[in-house]
This record gives sequence, structure tokens and C-alpha cells, in this order.
Amino acid sequence: MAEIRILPEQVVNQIAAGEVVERAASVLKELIENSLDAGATHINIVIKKHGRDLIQVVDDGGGMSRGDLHLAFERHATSKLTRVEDLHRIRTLGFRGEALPSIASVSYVEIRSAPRADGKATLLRIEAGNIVHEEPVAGPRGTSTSVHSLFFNTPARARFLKSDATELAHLVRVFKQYVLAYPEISWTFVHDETREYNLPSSSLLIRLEDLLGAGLAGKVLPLDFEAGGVRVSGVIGKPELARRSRGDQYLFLLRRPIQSGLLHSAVKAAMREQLDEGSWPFYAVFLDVEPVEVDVNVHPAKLEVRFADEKRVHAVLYRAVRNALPNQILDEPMGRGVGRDERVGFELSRRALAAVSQSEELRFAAEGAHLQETALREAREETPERALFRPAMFQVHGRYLISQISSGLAVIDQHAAHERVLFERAQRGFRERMFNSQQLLFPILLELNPEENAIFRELQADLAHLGFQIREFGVRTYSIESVPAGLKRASEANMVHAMIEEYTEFRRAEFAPRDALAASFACHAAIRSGDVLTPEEMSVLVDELFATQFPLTCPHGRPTVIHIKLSELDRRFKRSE
Amino acid sequence: MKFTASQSSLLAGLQPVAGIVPAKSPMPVLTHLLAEVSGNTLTVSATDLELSMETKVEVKGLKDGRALLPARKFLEEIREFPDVPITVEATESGRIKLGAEDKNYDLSGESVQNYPKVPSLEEKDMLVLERSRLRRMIGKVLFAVSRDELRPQLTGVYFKVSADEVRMVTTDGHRLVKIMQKHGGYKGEMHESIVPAKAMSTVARMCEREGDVHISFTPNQIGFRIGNTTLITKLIEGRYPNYEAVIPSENKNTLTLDLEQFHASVRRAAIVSNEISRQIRLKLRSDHLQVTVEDIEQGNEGQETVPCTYVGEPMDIGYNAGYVLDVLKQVDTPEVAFELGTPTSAGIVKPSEQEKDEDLLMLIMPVRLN
Amino acid sequence: MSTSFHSRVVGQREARARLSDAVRSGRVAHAYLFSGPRGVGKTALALEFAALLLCEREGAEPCGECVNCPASLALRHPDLHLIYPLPSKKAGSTEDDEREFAAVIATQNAALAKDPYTFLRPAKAKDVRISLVRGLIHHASMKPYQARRKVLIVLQADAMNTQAQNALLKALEEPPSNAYFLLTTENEGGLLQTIRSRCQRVRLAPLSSEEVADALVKSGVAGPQAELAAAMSGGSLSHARELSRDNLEDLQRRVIAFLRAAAVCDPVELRKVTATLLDSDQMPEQTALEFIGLLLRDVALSRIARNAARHPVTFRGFEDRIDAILLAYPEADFDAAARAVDVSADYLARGYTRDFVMFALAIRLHEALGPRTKSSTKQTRLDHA
Repeated sequence: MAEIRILPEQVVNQIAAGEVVERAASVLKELIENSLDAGATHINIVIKKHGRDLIQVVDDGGGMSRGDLHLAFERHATSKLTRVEDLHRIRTLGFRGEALPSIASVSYVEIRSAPRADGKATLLRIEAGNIVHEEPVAGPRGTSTSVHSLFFNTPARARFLKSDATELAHLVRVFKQYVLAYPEISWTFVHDETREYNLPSSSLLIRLEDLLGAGLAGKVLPLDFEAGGVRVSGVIGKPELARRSRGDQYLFLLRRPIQSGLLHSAVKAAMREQLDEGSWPFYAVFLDVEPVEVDVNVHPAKLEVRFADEKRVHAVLYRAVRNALPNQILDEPMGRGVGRDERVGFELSRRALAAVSQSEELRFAAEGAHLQETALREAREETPERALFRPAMFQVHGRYLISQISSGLAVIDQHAAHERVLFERAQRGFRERMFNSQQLLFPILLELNPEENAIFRELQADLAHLGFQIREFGVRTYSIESVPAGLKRASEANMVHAMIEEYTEFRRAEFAPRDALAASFACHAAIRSGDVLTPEEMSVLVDELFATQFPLTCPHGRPTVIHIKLSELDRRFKRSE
Repeated sequence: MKFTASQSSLLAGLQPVAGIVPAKSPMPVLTHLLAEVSGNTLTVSATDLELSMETKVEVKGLKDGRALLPARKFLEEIREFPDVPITVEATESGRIKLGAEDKNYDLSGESVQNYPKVPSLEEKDMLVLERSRLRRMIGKVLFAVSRDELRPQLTGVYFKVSADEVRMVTTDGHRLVKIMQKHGGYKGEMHESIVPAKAMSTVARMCEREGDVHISFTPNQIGFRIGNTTLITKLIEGRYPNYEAVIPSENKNTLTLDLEQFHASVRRAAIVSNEISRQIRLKLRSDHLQVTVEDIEQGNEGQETVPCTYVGEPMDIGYNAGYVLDVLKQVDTPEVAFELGTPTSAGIVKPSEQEKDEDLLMLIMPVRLN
Repeated sequence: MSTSFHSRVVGQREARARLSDAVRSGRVAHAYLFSGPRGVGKTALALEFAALLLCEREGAEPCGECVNCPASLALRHPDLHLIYPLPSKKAGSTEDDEREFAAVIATQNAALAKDPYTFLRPAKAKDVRISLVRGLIHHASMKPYQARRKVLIVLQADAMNTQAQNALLKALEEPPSNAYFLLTTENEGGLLQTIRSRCQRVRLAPLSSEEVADALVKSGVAGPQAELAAAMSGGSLSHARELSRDNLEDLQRRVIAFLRAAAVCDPVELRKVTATLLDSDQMPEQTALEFIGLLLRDVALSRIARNAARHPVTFRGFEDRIDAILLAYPEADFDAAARAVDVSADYLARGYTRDFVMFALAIRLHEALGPRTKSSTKQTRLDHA
């Protein structure tokens, strides 16, 4: 019979540490969060032997007094959480407060900390959770924590550590996340005496270049969007930055790195036209929401978060990326000698314009301005021969039109293109004159619920402008007697209903009322994917598209045209010129 | 089941029916042809659960029975055979053997029990029509069928048979066609139904040669027998809108024009009309008609004068040029007659003279000019 | 009255009676929403009701022998249209993809026809495709092929996106004649309020353990195994089916060994029992945790009902062990213990190293059980069990 041994408290701590301290990177993460929490402006990191020998974080934040230090190594001691409500207000980091004792239970820790810049610091040495040495020392304001010989006393855990390369990769990943989240802090990262990174305080764009290589800033698109209490900022990479493997996807919530399959899918979905199947877009996306909207207290490693209203966060992020995307195609005409300087100028004008007005149109104007000009020129360049001889155009998959243009191929999304045409037509209708209306043989009955009815009342006059003549027929019941002339699809029965719904969506995305109506009209009146077009209809559509003011995006912000350059084809066919 | 038939007769018989077989289906059994031998008659049928087709082929029957033939493979195989007698046999184990001379192929089949019951035609109280007349009627109405799936009734052809006439109506809410023909060969009860447009165009194609069409009805289906082949289609559920109510009876303004001349004018005007709204304007005066067109967006315009006989108030009326052209295409007489009410109400279009035993009427809704 | 029909619906007598009353009295609603947890028979009941609606005889249940019944029960009736979540269409899908897609549906339908308790979720299926919803509405607008009615079924209807739900809503608002829509969902909240309000609600409660056990035995599971799986199933037949594939009695022994090691927090023993507990392909960790939770429930129950001769629900035949635990740990906090199990399940679901999760669980259980009374004869028996 085996002797019965009871696990001491120490062992309990060690094992529980397994939940928080999974690997060297989790130690680094906890220490960085403590430094950020202390308000550091410089954070220096020293790693030895891939974190097996040493993980050291030195900061200049508000350090801890002797008493605080002792408290910090008591399990469950935290000065940060005193009430349940605090759990919902997690603007400060390190809310679990369990990290230090957990780390200390599986390593040798040496910590030196000074709360003030008076040169008086306290040094503690902790071995496997026990404070073995304490002395007052001299030192600058701030804290230096060194974690030696991680998992020395839990060989089983040590075996869980993957290869050195993997562990280092995890350490660097954590580092990258935080330096992107906090570009205003200067960071250094030293591994085995080599200074891997030296990042002075800067902005996000410069930090990106410092971290991921010069020229990166020119390959990303800024995100700036707010709706429904969710604010999205940061950058997404143009398609050329997409990779076959994951790695450079950074997501932050309230500046804390998080992982979220849901939000990743929102970015991916928004970029679906630009990405190949299975490729990973580059992005560094910052989300800010009201803390009560987020339930973060679910994962001990604080990476997975849950949102009270996941769908909304997903929708806002999707829209934010979508809004940024027209820039995607901006790059193509850049090849025609538009240098980086011009680009900067363009960026500036874009910002200036955006500042002048929140109007969606102006935003498009700014973003689309460049390409549009070039593409328009290109489209018009061929006018003489086009008049005699329409260029061959093909409809593929009942969805896209492909046409040759002088510099390569244009691929047009027929629905998005038609939406753009109808959108501007409707806008013009509002400005200039009423639309003609096609009278109907059989009036269509429209029954609305109270909410829809309220919106409908608002819209009735503008709908008439578009050509919908609608007569009141009873309580929240109307009869549609005519519809805008020349609608390609005869889906009138459902159209007004669908428009009211879509209108609310566009309003939520901060479209002006008439723009929202024009956009929802365009969305529902446009030809759809699957509609077969005659060659005549195709060329009409393309002519109409390029006659619009902003031919390159649909009102939703999706691109209407993708331009594939001849040089791109040459490159892919490995034809060297 | 076992029979022998020449490659050519088998191919000719099977091919039209195979056209009905869906290429893919969640019910794999539907990708087969149902074959039944009784005496020296082979009946081949197929259904996609909406359209069904059946045809009879004379064969040398060797053994009565039913079997399923994998449509695509079977037909492709037969097609590659020389024109020699081919023997087809369904074995007890459900395999299909086909062979001729020294060529033998053995295909896997499906259990015939799993095949849905293919509807068959009730042979009493049939309406008998000349194929050419049926084809003419279908040809006149198909253009106005709606594509709006939310109003499924309008996606079909309204079909009504009574003691002395057969009638078809279609409308998409912007225009309407009604055509009636007298007939002398129906003793059954009055019948009305809405037939899917796809089935109607299939019937029109099958009516190519001379002869009669036999039409019979059930509450849910309508069947057309043309020679040895029968096409049966499911009907569309619901009531057809009250089209009689929208045909105006007091349109006092009458306009008569030379069809060719007017058609040509509208075609010319249509070219410069706005590419989306396709709108043209008819200015009606007592002794002439002016066709005008203006596309503000493109900066195009035009007008021309067409001689006409107009009896009524002077007025301007707008139309979608495409609708006008569609309607004019259905007119076979040298002149076309319009009966108009107001610039926003339905106008009637007719040939100046009706064919014998036929009545064709079309409605076209104007575009309100703002 | 003898028929060749054998209902495959387990339990749910009340709902079945209500539905056949509706048919008998000619008051069938145009739309029904079958809701309830997974595995209680929503689909089975909807399919049987569909067969009843299509049956020529319109009795209390499908006759099983008319021209319609065999086909509708085999899910190949031309007037029965069934859709459910499927992998979303790849952009630029080809004919071949579509053919493959039709094959997926055929396979799924066949599985469902064979066992209406099959949970249909083909790989990568997310949404009920809108094209399928449109197809369904098209079928509804056509006259029936051979029966008097058309039945249109949407399984896991909450997996329709808003656009698809709106399309369906139009059809529910003005149902075409002779069209009957049957929807199933585990999550009513995932459906538009407007859809819900247009459907007659048929709520299905979890099955009783006896009903589940019965059904398992009928499908060939051995008696004791069936009872165990039923007890653990939470009234879900499909869950019980999955469970009954494991060796439950053996698992019970392993779970008790784990709790014993946790109780004394013996590291060597813990390592060993954790390994045996999790060391088998047929033992998913989640099932092990579920079993630990059930054991704790049994122990807690028998403490409450100590004198009422209450028998364990799940761990029948282990009464003496349960008693021993109770005797040894008079201050045990079973609430805390149960919470610890839940937390561990969550960690596992998030992909934490399972050994560590189980160790941490053991420690928490150790804490929850509280101090142990000094040795007693029972104690020894527990230790040596």
C-alpha cells in the first residue's frame, strides 16, 4: 500500500500556475501588463536562452513599496479589484492579480522596485514561492522583475515547453502585440545579448515600419470608424501583404491584445474580394467599446473575449474595413509613376476632406479620387474606336463582366456597378427633377407594421420623387400605383418593404436620409448576380458606370471594378520583359 | 424487363425525354429514366417533379417489366453504338445490360420502387387543337410573363378552356396580353389554370410539326400529348388576378397607324432614349402623331412625325419604348389600332383586323411624365 | 386497427396528440415551429407530422401503406421539401461542386430517413442557404405533385440569415394554398419575432430517462449501459446515442477512482488515475467531466435524502462508495465542487492542456470536499476500492 501524501499548498500553487503560466511568453505577458499598469514610458526586456534562463522586464513606472511587494506575492492579493463592478471596468490591465504568485511558484524571482525617484528601492528574492531574501537597495524609480529558471521545480511542466524556436517565437509575438498597442512607449528587446528591437516612442504607422519593415506604412489602409458604441481604428494591409500562413493579425480591445475568431472572420469577410482562399490578411485593429459591453473575465490568459452583442461588434468591424477598402484599388494606377510623395499628399487631402465632412460621399470622393480619374481617362481614351466597335465583354458566372482595357483587364461586379449607377441617378432625382413613373396595371398592396410605418411616413415624399406613387388604403396599408420607370427587375412587390429595412441599415451607418434612401433603392432595384445580360446591356451598364461621379465603389463601399494590370498577368505567367 | 430495338429508334425516342432529367438532384433516383416494357411497347418517362415527359417507342418486347436506366450514361452509351439492334435487359439484381453483336455493357441501376409515380394523362374530355394554333397562341403571350417570384401567379400563363373557346392571358403588371381562339373540339367542363411559362415554351417547341395536340386537365396538372410523347406539368397554385377588371371599356381616343412605319419610328427613337428608362413620348394631335425622345443624362434627343388617324383629345403620353416594341411585334396586320384613355391609364393595342376565330388584345401601361 | 406504421418518435405524446387532433379536425395551421433542446425529437416529430399531412387516409398517424406514406417516410416524396444548413456555396462554384453538393444532400437525407434523430450538420455547414429557401418557396407556390398538400420543412431554422428569414416570412404571411411549413429550432431567439408569431408553437420537453433508456434498448444497447447513458443524456436521445457508444460502467469506476485521488490530493495517484481516466479514444474529456459532475450530484442528493432511502440516479450500484465519501467529508461543499467541474469544462473547451486542467480540478475538488474525518472503516474501504 502506497503511503498517502497530501499535496502541500505550494504544489497547489504550482499546478494552478499551469493555468496562467503556460509558457515563457505568458510570463512576459504578465510582466509587461504589470509595467503598463504602473504607467511606464520605457520598458526594456531581456531574455536569455529563449526564456528558460531569464525573462526580465525593467520599467520606469510607479514602483511598489516594500509592503506592496509582499502583498503582490500573496496569492489573490490585488489592489485592482475590490468590487464585482470592477470586473466590468477593466480599463486597467492585470485584473486577475494572480500572476505574480503563480509565476513565483514555478521559478526563482528577483524583483527590485522603487515607488519614487528617491533612489530607495526594495529587493526581494523568491524561490518557488517563498521569500528567501530581502534587502533595501539603491535604484531608480520603477520595477525590475527577473524570472529565472522557469518551471525548475515542475519538470513535467518544463517538458511541455516546445522547442526553443517555438518558445522564442511566442515571446516575440507577445512583444509585438504590446509594442503595437503602445507605440508611445519606448521598448527594447534583448535576447542572449543581442538587441533584437529598439523602438523609440512614436506613432502606430512608424511603429509598424520599425517593427515589420520599412515601406509597410504605404501598404496599409487606415481604419477610422465608429458606430453603435464601437470605435474601430488601426490599419489593415492591402492584399499584397496577405500571407499564406497566419502571424501578422493583431487585434486589440481597449488596447489589450485579444484573439477572436469572430472578429477575424469579420475582417476576412470584408476583404473577401481581395483575398485568395486560405490567405491571411495583415491587420492591426483597435476596438474600443464600453467596458460593460465586453465580458472579459472568461479566459485566464485573457485572450479570448466575449461580447454582450457579438453581432454588432462584428457588423461594425466589417463596415469599418469595408469603408477603408476603396483604397485597395488605389494602388493600381500608382504604378503609373505616382510616387510616394504624391501619395502622402493624397493622404493629407483625404484626411482634410474627411475632416470637412462626415458625408459618406465625400469620404468616397477622397478615397476614390485618384483611381477614378485614371480609370475614367482610360475608359474614355478608347472612345473613338468604341463608338464604332464595342470592346468584347464577357459575362462570367452570371455575376462579373470582364473587359479588355488598354492597361490590362477590368473585372466588373454587375450588381455593384448597377447599384452605383442607380444610386447616383436617385440622388440626381432628388436634386433635379422627379422620376417618371411606370404605371401599374395591378396596384400592389403594402402592409406595414408600426415601426415600418413610421419610417415610411418620413420617406413618402422622397419615394414619390423616385417615382413610387403610393396611395393610403387603410390603417398602415397602402397601394403602390406606380414604380420608377425602367426598373430592370420586376420585384416591385417586395421592393418598398425591403427598401424601408435597408434604409434603416444605411441610416445606422450614418448616411444622410436621402442618401440612405437612394442607396437602399439602388440596392434593391439593381440587377443581381445571376441575371444574364445581353451584350447590349453589358455595354450600357459599363457606359453608365463610368459616367457616374464615383464609379469605383457601390454605395455600400464595395468595389465595382477590379483592375488587373497586364504587367501583373505577365508576372504571373512568368513572362519576363 | 428485356427488349430489342434499333439504335436509331431508341435514341430518337429517348432523347427528348432525357432532356427533362435533371443533371443533379438531391434525389439521385431522378437522374434516371423510367422504362417499362409491355408487349412490343417501351414506355420511357422522366420527371423533375415539376415537368414530366413520357414517350412510347415500338420495340421487340422480350420480357415485360419496369426498370430505371441511368439517363446520362445510358444515353451516351447508346449514342456511341452503330445503328444495329440493341438488346436492353434489367437483371434481377437491378443491373442494366445493354449489348449488340459483340459489344456488351453492364450498368448499375437503381431500385425502381424508389422512383416517384410519374403522372399520366386522363384520356377523357380532351381538348384537341391544331399544333400550329397552340404554338401561335403561346408565341403571342410569353413576352409579357412576369419574372417576379414573389407573385408566382404572374410567372405563369393563365389558361382557360370553355365550351367554344380557349384563352391565354399573361401580364407582368406593366403590360398584359389576352388571346382567345374558337375551337370545336371540347366537351368537358370549363377549366382554368396557371401553367408555368417554362412548360408552355417546351410545349411550343414540341408543336413544330403538323398534327393535333391533345390537352387534358386534372386539378393539379395539365398534360399535352403530341404524337407519341406526352408532357405533363404541375400548375401554379393560387388565383390569377382579375384581368378583366383592368381592361378599360371606355377608351374613347382611337389611334390607327401603319404598323411598319410606326415600328420603324419607335425603333429609331428607342436608340437615343435613356438607356435605363427607355422612355419615349407620343404627342397625339388630330392629324399626326409626333414621336419624341429626350435623354437628359446623355444629352440626346429627337423627334419625328408619323402620319396617323387619331380621333380624340390631343394629349401627350409616355411609354417605355421596349414595351411598345414588344407589343408591336405581336401584330400581324398592316395597321395597328390603339384605344387610349388618359396619359396615366391603360391603353389597348390590337391588330386592325383580327384573324379568323381569334381575338387578340394587349394592354400597355404608360409612364407618367413628370 | 392495425397499420404497418411504427412511429419512430420517442415520447412526446402530448405534442403528437395535438398534431393529429389538428389533422383530424381539419384545423391544420399553415406553419408550425418545433422548438426544444437537441435530441428530444423535433425533427422526428416534424417528419412524422409531414407524413401524416401527406397521407391519403388522414388518420391519427400516417397509415404507412398508401401511395404517399412509404415515400414520405423515406424522405423521397415529391411533395415533401426539406432544407437545412449546408456548406456555403464557394465563390465561383462549378457544375461539379453543385453535383457534389446534391450528393451531400442525398447522403444527409438518407441518414435522416434512416434515423430521424440524426443531427444534420454536414462539415462546414453554417447557414441555411437563401437559394434553398427561395427554392422551398417556389415549391410552395406550385400545386402538389401527387398528395393533397405540400409540406415544406426547414430544420435548424435559426441558421437562416436575416435575408433568408425575410424571404420565408413573405411566404408565411401569405401562405400559398395547400402549403404547410414546418420549422425546427433549438434556439427560438435566432428567429425573427415576425416568423415566430406566424407559427403555431410546438415546444418539446426533454425526454424522461425511461423513454430514452427504452429507445436505446430497442436499438440494441444493453440494458445497464442504456440506463446509464439515459441518465446522463439530459433527456436528449441523440446525446444518449453518442454516450452509449462509450463503455460507461468502466468509466464510472474510473471516475470514482479520480474523485478518490482528488479527495486525498495524492499526486502520484492523481497522475495515474488522470491518465487512465482520459487514456482512451472512446472517452472524450467532456464526457469524463460530465460524469464527475453526475457523481457529485448523486453524492449531494444522497446527503439530502440520507434517510429517505434515496437511490443514486446515475451511479447505481455504487451506494457504498457514495456513503463512504459522505462519511469521510462531512463539510463538503458540493456547490463549489460542481462549479469547479464547470470551470474545468470551460478550460478544456478552450484548448488548455487537459492534464493540467484535470490537476487543477483535483485541487479544487480537494478544497471543496473540506477536511477529512479521522480514519474509519468506511474510509479504508474507499481508499482501497
